[in-house]
Amino acid sequence: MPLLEVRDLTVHYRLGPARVHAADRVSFTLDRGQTLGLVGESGCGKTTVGYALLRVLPENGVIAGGQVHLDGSDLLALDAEAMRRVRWRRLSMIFQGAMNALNPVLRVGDLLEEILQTHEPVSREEARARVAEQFEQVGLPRARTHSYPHEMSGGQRQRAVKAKSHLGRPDLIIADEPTTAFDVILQDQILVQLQEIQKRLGLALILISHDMSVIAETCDHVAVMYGGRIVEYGTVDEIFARPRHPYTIAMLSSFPSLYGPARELLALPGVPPDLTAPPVGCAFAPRCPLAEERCHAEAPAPLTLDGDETHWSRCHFAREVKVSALAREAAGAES
Amino acid sequence: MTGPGNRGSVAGAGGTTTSGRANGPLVPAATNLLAGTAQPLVVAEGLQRRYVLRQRLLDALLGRPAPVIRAVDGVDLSIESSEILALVGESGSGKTTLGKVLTLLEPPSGGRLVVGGEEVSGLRGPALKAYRRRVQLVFQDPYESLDPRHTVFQTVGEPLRVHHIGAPLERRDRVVEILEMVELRPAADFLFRYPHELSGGQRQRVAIARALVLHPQFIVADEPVSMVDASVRAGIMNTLRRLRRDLALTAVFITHDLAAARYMSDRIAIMYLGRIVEVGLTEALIRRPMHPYTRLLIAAVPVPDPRARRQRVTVAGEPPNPLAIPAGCRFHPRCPMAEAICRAEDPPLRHLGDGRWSACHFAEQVPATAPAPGP
Ligand SMILES: Nc1ncnc2c1ncn2[C@@H]1O[C@H](COP(=O)(O)OP(=O)(O)OP(=O)(O)O)[C@@H](O)[C@H]1O
Ligand SMILES: Nc1ncnc2c1ncn2[C@@H]1O[C@H](COP(=O)(O)OP(=O)(O)OP(=O)(O)O)[C@@H](O)[C@H]1O
Ligand code: SF4
Ligand code: SF4
Ligand SMILES: [Mg+2]
Ligand SMILES: [Mg+2]
Repeated sequence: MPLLEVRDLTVHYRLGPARVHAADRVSFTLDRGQTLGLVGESGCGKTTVGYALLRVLPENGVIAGGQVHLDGSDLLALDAEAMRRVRWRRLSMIFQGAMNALNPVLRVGDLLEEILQTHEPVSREEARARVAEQFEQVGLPRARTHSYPHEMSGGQRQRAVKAKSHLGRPDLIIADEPTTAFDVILQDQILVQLQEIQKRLGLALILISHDMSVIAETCDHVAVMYGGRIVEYGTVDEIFARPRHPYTIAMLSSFPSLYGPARELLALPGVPPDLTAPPVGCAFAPRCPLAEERCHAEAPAPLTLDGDETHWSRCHFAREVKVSALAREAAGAES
Repeated sequence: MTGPGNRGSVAGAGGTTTSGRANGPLVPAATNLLAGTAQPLVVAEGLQRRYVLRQRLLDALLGRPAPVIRAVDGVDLSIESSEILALVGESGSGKTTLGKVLTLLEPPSGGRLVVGGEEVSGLRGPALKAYRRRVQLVFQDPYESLDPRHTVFQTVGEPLRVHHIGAPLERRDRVVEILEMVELRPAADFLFRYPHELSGGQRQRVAIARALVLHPQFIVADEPVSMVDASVRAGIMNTLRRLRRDLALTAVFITHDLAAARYMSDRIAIMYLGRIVEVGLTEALIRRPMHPYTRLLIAAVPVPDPRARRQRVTVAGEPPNPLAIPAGCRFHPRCPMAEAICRAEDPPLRHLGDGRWSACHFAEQVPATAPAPGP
């Protein structure tokens, strides 16, 4: 049984009379100790999925359908108190821009002790010991518990945020853009830390990122989101070697690389879909180089590929030559 | 005069260099490698920009000196006409500050800045205003650089108005022309929109249009650290590359990502703690870095291929602090190759042939980067 099983998760935001269809029938599974990359352009619904799994949506957000099973238990059926315990012991999230999540006027160690004590009946000394131990787990010297956030470097603060998310010893962590605000050197250090901690503690990880290179280096599986839906899912090797959705192909060809021949980068024309009025057909159709009439009329169902049940794409033509040809052409475009 | 990394100018031509620092000549004499090409458009020599921080009262009473941030701390650099030079370095290395000083949005605290053969660092009043017409800094952060109360037409047309260029109708034509050039087409659809009615990428294009409307001699384009959408970023980079081709634009492209620098530039200048520590032709510098810091930056770039096994190089020590620049080589506390001499002697930029310059005592010994990482 997978650790996490998400089926047809659907989330709306109420916006006056309108509804933002931010996540639409999102389905995936995740095994213990594995990493799933959730990738897609700004506004496609990545954070929304994270919030919905934790059930911490903003006030106007509604889970309109679907199921979320963590280790067999149905999270959407839990009452608020039980869900609070799950968020502490089982499932935790490093929020986007979490660097500001440390309280500037508290020593980092004091903040974490306080959080621990609100969740578990532990003594001051126990709390202190657990926090110090957690600091060591993420590679911070114990003495750093006495620091204020402004006395720490960006990388150290990021470690402290991680220590905070591990305090309840969860099985699954959702990290929302953990590297985005940093330069390459810090980004690299943060990724190394994440992988070390994950391996040491046997955590499952959902890594939300817009950066395909980061995903390539960190993840076992990848879910590509577009306009509130997962449009392609597969192992990281499949997604990079044989992308079978035109949006994935476009994403992959928009990244510069330090290696290999100089390639012309491709920029997608147009803008993402308006999620208050999602199109009836394929959401990508207005920007897709392969779109046909059928695409505008009919939403594509997931198609599995190459007899590989774990790789699927929501494109009408995923199994056809024109998609693989597009992938080859994009990978080979010389600049 | 010749600047480091300058691959074109005739050695010694056009002026003398003054030596102000203890660590050798400000600008080492270049070997003339590619004779006959143009003079550099911009030459910086020992350029500095310091910020004096406010002192605590007690420290002032005790007569302690106020802390000084040496954000740009002796930059030697030249920029050729019609080239794109990428300025690369980690956060806090002084890239944006250098951009501001090159465009004289902030005055240098020391050193020389020669543009088109003319010393500009002391310009004041109308002469300064005229200089700012010729050079432009594009803050690529689309959320900070545009006034939310101004339409695209007002934003892009403002520099024309300020400099009294053209009659109102001509200005409109000029704005339309420039919007088309940055691929906001059809321009008429965009003229009267406000920033909140534009996507992030469109806002960036408006910022570039505004910088180009006065036909500047060169621009400095400062890429924000967190460019969220790869596709939008690719679009902006493609536009800049096209503008360079079509307009023979000279540009400094600021980024912390060497992969983006590779895509954009003819040459790369690596900045560390307020100095240029290495300059070279883009592909050569990436294949064979000659400064340990460059090698480290290369190793930190993630590879967009899950089968690749990247050779990681760990960085020792804390991120650089411009309040306390180490003596000797400023990189020595973090350098895997540091030796005794590095703690004692500040290495000058040395010319290593083929337009390559490095400020490292052991430049020749820096190991090559791994070839394209394989599975
Ligand atoms: N509280 C809210 N009320 C209304 N709409 C919202 C709300 N939060 C998010 N949205 C909309 O829902 C969609 C998905 O947003 P979400 O934050 O999940 O995207 P994302 O993929 O995480 O984007 P980014 O990469 O920019 O973080 C977007 O169109 C966004 O504008
Ligand atoms: N107005 C200022 N007053 C004081 N210090 C400043 C000022 N502007 C910049 N600094 C400092 O100068 C140093 C260089 O800053 P700068 O913004 O030029 O770096 P950068 O290389 O552009 O970094 P990033 O990649 O994060 O944009 C930093 O330590 C910064 O804090
Ligand atoms: S279904 Fe049609 S529009 Fe959608 S991705 Fe496939 S080809 Fe493109
Ligand atoms: S001079 Fe010494 S410390 Fe500086 S980069 Fe070279 S080897 Fe490293
Ligand atoms: Mg998000
Ligand atoms: Mg900057």
